[in-house]
Amino acid sequence: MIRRRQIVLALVLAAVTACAALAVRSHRAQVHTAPAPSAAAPAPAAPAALPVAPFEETDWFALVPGDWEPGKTFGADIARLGDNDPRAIDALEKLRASWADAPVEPAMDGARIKIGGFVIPLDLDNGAATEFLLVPYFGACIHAPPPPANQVIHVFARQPVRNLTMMDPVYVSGTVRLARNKTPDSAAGLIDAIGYEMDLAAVAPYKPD
Amino acid sequence: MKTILLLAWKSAWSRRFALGLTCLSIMLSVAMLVAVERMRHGAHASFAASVSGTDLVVGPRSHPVQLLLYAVFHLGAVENGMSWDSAERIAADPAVAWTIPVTLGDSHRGFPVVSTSAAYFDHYRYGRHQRLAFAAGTQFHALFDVVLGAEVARRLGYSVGDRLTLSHGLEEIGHAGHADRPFTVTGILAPTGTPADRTLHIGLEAMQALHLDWHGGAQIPGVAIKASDLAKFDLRPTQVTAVLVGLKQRAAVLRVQRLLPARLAEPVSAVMPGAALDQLWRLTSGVEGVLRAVAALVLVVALAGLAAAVLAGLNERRREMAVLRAVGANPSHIFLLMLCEGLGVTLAGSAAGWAAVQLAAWSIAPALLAHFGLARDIAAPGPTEWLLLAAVMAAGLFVSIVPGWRACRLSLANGLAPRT
Amino acid sequence: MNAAASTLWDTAVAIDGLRFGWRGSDDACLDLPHFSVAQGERVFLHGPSGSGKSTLLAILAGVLVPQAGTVRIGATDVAALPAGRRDQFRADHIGFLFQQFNLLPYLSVLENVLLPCRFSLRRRMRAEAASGASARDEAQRLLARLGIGPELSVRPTAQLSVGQQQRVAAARALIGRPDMLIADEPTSALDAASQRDFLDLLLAESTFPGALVMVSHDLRLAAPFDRSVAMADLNVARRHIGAP
Repeated sequence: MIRRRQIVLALVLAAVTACAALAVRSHRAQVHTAPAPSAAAPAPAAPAALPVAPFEETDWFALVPGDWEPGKTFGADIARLGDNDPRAIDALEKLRASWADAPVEPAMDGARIKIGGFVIPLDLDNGAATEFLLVPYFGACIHAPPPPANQVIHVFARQPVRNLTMMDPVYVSGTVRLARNKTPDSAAGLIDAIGYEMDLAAVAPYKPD
Repeated sequence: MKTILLLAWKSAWSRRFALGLTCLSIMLSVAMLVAVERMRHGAHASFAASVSGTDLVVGPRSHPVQLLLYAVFHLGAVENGMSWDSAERIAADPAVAWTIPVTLGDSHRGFPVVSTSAAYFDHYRYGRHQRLAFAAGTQFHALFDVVLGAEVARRLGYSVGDRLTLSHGLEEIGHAGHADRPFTVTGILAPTGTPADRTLHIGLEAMQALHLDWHGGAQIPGVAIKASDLAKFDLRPTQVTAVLVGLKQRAAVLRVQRLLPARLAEPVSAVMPGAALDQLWRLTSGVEGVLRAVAALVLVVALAGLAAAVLAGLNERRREMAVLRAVGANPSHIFLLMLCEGLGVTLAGSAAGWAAVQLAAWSIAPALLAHFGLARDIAAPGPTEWLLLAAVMAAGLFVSIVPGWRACRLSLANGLAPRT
Repeated sequence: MNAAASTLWDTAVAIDGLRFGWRGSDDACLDLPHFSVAQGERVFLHGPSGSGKSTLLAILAGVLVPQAGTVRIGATDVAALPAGRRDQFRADHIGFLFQQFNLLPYLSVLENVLLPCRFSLRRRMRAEAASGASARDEAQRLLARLGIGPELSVRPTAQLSVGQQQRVAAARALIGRPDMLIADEPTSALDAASQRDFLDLLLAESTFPGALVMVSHDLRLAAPFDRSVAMADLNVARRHIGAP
């Protein structure tokens, strides 16, 4: 005869085991924040009276100022040139050079956005990333040319993020600010904003809908 | 419940030889699993901590992992070096904030010698952006000054002011040494848990001065330049092994990595340390996976052995169960009894396995530090270890359900008079 | 005698219309129209092996459940109780003696005797009340009365002779003054000389107002009992299935 108590016990045990296995698996797969080992400064919190604005889902075009058209100077002829035409190669070089000075969109300063991209870890602490770059496309440091300066976000994670590897697709949410060149350039004086930085609030793996 | 635990403990203890074998196999498999996790976690953490804050490593054209391992961890070798001209051009690039040129090649009693500039002590960072600190003395100033890593000083018993001589190449073979150029220890670094601990640091000019009268790996016979004459020579280095680069704007690294090599006169590789480490881990992940799979398989076998051992013993224990039933135990008590036994053996095996790994880690850590410069986190439990142990316990509990169920059914079927 | 500490029943055991058959066999092993034991009565049940004695005892103890009939022990129909309550009833009210292998080999003598107190709070409290101190003391006392001195009582059970083991088992069955003692051929493993002694000891110690039912195939032991009943008279089942 089967006792009810025994059935319940067996089911509970099976459930516990299944939960443990799932937890191990999802822990490995998921990206989540771990508490920083040293006493971290408290996360910036809005004053209690103000409501916290949600993170707006944004795409990479929003980071480009509306009036920036690096190909404008080349004219329509460029399309008719062959790939190996020295003028085409020269134009490409100039284009790539202009990417280095790609201007930022001033409206993005202080914006709270959620944006998807690929991760390039910069600094790891105990296996968790404290700083990483977010780029719009896969292979930005391996096969494909580097993105323009206004299509790279330098993300700072106050709480290190575990399980982030090169080229992981993720959604990051946080507050963007314009990065200013900290060291004075001896020739040109202080150079102004030349990129984006973000204080990370949340990160989630990218899941296609 | 306390009764059940007591009975389970006493009963298991009386059968300790049979159960001890399964306990041992559980211990071995748990030790394997924990060791793989610990090594993996320790290796990843140690390597990553050693390159904190370095944006690029530029060196002669080679595989990124090879260059990183040699330039930062002093492991392996690269075929040739990069010209000093390239190193200067890199330093002059407007996007670059600082550079640390490094040259390897000599050794001292098994420890590698790195020649570098004063920038090393200013800009090298490790761990969480920590600077190098001196436990004693200061950095090198005179030509033949040397700064020792913490482990070098500790193992060889040096202190500030001692003199030592270097060997050419990695081995101390016969006379391939620089006995005519003794060095003086001016500083000893505080421990960092990175390869810096097992390295001797000398100036770039010193490396050049050492090999002025050398050619092709040996001292040119008949040409011995006296130390006093060295000042007359141009001691600027001609070659470096690699250059560690820090940028003004870290986000520009992708662009610099692509464009910088084009501005140099020779083929070079510009490596992002994070990317190279990732490649390294991809290479090793296959081996790690195999090790983990083997360990998991051993655990499965061990747990199956546990269930089999308990099941096999059930026949002899029918009288025992009849006695328990007679004094008022119900079948669920018997079920719990089996469960507690199985769980107890699993717990004992897991604890023993974990303790074995911990002991091994404690004893290996100093050797690891001396040979590879890596010691972080090997001796501390990693974050996934507790989950792993919990999963093993859950598996042990799950497996014990089988003999528990069987015992329960047996006692119900036999009543008070089992067929013996 | 403290009325609160003992259970006074009119009839210790009353079985009516009992039918029991092992699963997988068509015929009933036991078919008892009626059997009763009065309060304080010592009954000797005898019959050849295979007559269903052990099965009857198991049903009395509440370990087996009959297909039909009522098994009243005191005021409770044991056959109608759910399994957990049956087990608890047995722990609280019944002491059981096997023919042999009564003891758990991995517990000491004292721990074996104290086993029922672990499963029944009622018997534990009664044991403490009887000794005035702890159940352990009561166990020692009982053992001494049964001829097992204190130096033996801390020994592991494997070092005792069969006769000594049976006496320890008797102490275990008696501790905490259960209301009924059931013994399944307790002397069959002993040599002829010890059988009588053991029986005398057992009967001398079970002086509580409960019932004692002992089963044996040896009629020579029936003398000290109040009543001697043959299984064949009780059990009208046509075929006797072999004892399990």
